[in-house]
Amino acid sequence: MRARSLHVLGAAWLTAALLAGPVRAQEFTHQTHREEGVTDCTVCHEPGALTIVPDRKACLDCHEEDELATYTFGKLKTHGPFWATEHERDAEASNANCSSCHEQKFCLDCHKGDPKHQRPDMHVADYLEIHPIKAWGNEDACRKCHEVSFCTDCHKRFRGEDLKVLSHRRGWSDKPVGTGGRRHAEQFQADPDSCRQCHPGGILSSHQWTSDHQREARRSLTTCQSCHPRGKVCLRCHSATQGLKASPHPKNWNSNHERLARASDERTCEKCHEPKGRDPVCQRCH
Amino acid sequence: MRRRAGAWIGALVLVLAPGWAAGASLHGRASTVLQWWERAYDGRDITPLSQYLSFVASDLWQGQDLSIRGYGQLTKDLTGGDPWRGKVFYLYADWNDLWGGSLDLAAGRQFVQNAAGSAVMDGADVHLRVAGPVAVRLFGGGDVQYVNEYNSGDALGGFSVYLDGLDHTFAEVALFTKYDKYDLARLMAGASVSQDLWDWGRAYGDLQYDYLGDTVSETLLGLRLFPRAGWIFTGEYFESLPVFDSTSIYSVFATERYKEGRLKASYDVVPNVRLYAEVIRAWYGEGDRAFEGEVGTRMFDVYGARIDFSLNRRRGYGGELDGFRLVAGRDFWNDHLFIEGGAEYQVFQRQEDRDDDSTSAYWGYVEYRWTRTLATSVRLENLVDGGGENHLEGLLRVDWDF
Repeated sequence: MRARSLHVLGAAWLTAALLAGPVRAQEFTHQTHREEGVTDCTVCHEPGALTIVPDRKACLDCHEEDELATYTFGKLKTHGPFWATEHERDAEASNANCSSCHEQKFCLDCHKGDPKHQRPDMHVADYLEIHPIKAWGNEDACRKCHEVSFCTDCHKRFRGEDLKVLSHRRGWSDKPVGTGGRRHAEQFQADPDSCRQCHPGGILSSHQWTSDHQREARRSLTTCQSCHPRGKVCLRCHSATQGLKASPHPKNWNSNHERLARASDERTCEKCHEPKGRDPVCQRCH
Repeated sequence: MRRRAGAWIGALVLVLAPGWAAGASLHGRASTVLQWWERAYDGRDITPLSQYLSFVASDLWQGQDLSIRGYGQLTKDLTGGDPWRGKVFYLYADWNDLWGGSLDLAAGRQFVQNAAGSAVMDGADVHLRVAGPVAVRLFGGGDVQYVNEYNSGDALGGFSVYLDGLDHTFAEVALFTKYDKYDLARLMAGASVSQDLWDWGRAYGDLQYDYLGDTVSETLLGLRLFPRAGWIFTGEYFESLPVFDSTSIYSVFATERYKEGRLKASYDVVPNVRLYAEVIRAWYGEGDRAFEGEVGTRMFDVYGARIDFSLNRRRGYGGELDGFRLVAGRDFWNDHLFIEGGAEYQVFQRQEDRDDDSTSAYWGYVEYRWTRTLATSVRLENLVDGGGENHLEGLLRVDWDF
């Protein structure tokens, strides 16, 4: 009975196979390798190779050519031949994508400490000369790889006017107060509250510096922070208790500052304002 | 900081010792690197000597998928009087497939990231596969900042729910939080999705929401298409707004949103030759914009050589750039010798300047593999700055794999 069943099954399989034509190729999966105990990725993916795609020679170390012909290999998605110079966007696009296959060592070998190529491809020519063009308005791109100190180690050694930041080249602090008076910086040191005698309501006269520094700060606030980590220079004018008392807050500040205030237990607020119970600005609503 | 490092090393020895007694395996790479360059702001020659060590110790416990992974650096500038300085990039125990294969645990110094944020921490990271493809992840520990060291109140944590193991779909929703001396510095929420569109494309996107600032801080929408063999089209839209710790005065300042659109097409003329073109449009607010474009070819394994050549152009806010890049490299002697050379040239005009300047770089790189486990490499590079002055810098490196 069992033998007859096997014959029937065999005949059915043979008929189906003949009707289906040539044997269809199987799709390659990593799972098969894992199940067979091949868990070391470097068996196929050669360390230091220019491409993540294994060399066919690596396949032939273990498999016959005829056997390989029965497999199809999936279409490459993120790991094309020039992955090394193209992976940035893939890494940015999906936070968990890289880590689903790679250990963190894989990233850190190149991005922290390993200087094989000294600098990434995006840093062309003498990048010190070019970097202001790239960094202008999008310093977050720098921060993806560099710690703050990477910028400040160099920037803090330059005079502001040498950095070629427009606002720093036309600094108000060197301009005289009125005609032939003290420099603004000296006047501020002597009497911070005297600013409002000439600039009522925190309004600056039409110095180019005013709009330049505002635009630069709004686009590049992380650059300001690089050289002025505590922001004391900002508070000369933007404090609520001295100087021009010019508000630096965004337009929707009234409706969304509560969370920030609570998070720092209002200590950040008190860098510029009197404690909530006493500050007239806060008392308007609170 | 030093005490914590000692604690980690002590814990490492305690975990490793019984493993080695039972025949654990140890693999990794030790690299000795000597570099030299001229420091930009004072012209001083800098020659740091660094020793790197990365390793993985596995088979520590029979029947368990437990390994210890580490990577660190010791460095000293030979031309200065500074002492040796050390950094532990990561050093953690990686224990997978616990609790019936549903739990993974990593403990120690490690890089962590989810859809809402990322950091280097001293702590623990737990993945739990709950049901089917659904998994949850929880991590937390001390916030490591290499430069400023860290304080006892600097901590971070993250939680996420994600899909694990699906071939064509990934999705994650996550929270990420940071504390600065016990004050809540950041609370971020994030989402990340990626979906294969049958065999002709992929759509993906990321979103980060800054809860304390009540604003969406980062958005990415992308579509990648593979309509025919050899063709890849990519379109992306990206927005970002800087996020500052709530404890920083900068968190209360108004900032401008950076926006960027990008289109890229590439075509593999033959399997080893790719042509590509890319355009980027950036918006900085108040009508200021920039345009960037690049066209190039990448030839891989053309008679054993790799050749990259590209032309780039930039116009608009920030400044102008025009230039090219050429890199060629080849293996010789049955892959024992690798030689690469390159040249880059850029004409630039910064935002505030009216005159063009130019800068260039030329380099050569030679790597010789003495054995399967020992290699030496040398790289020499000459940078020509905007004033036409030459600056020679280089690197000598010995790698030993074990």
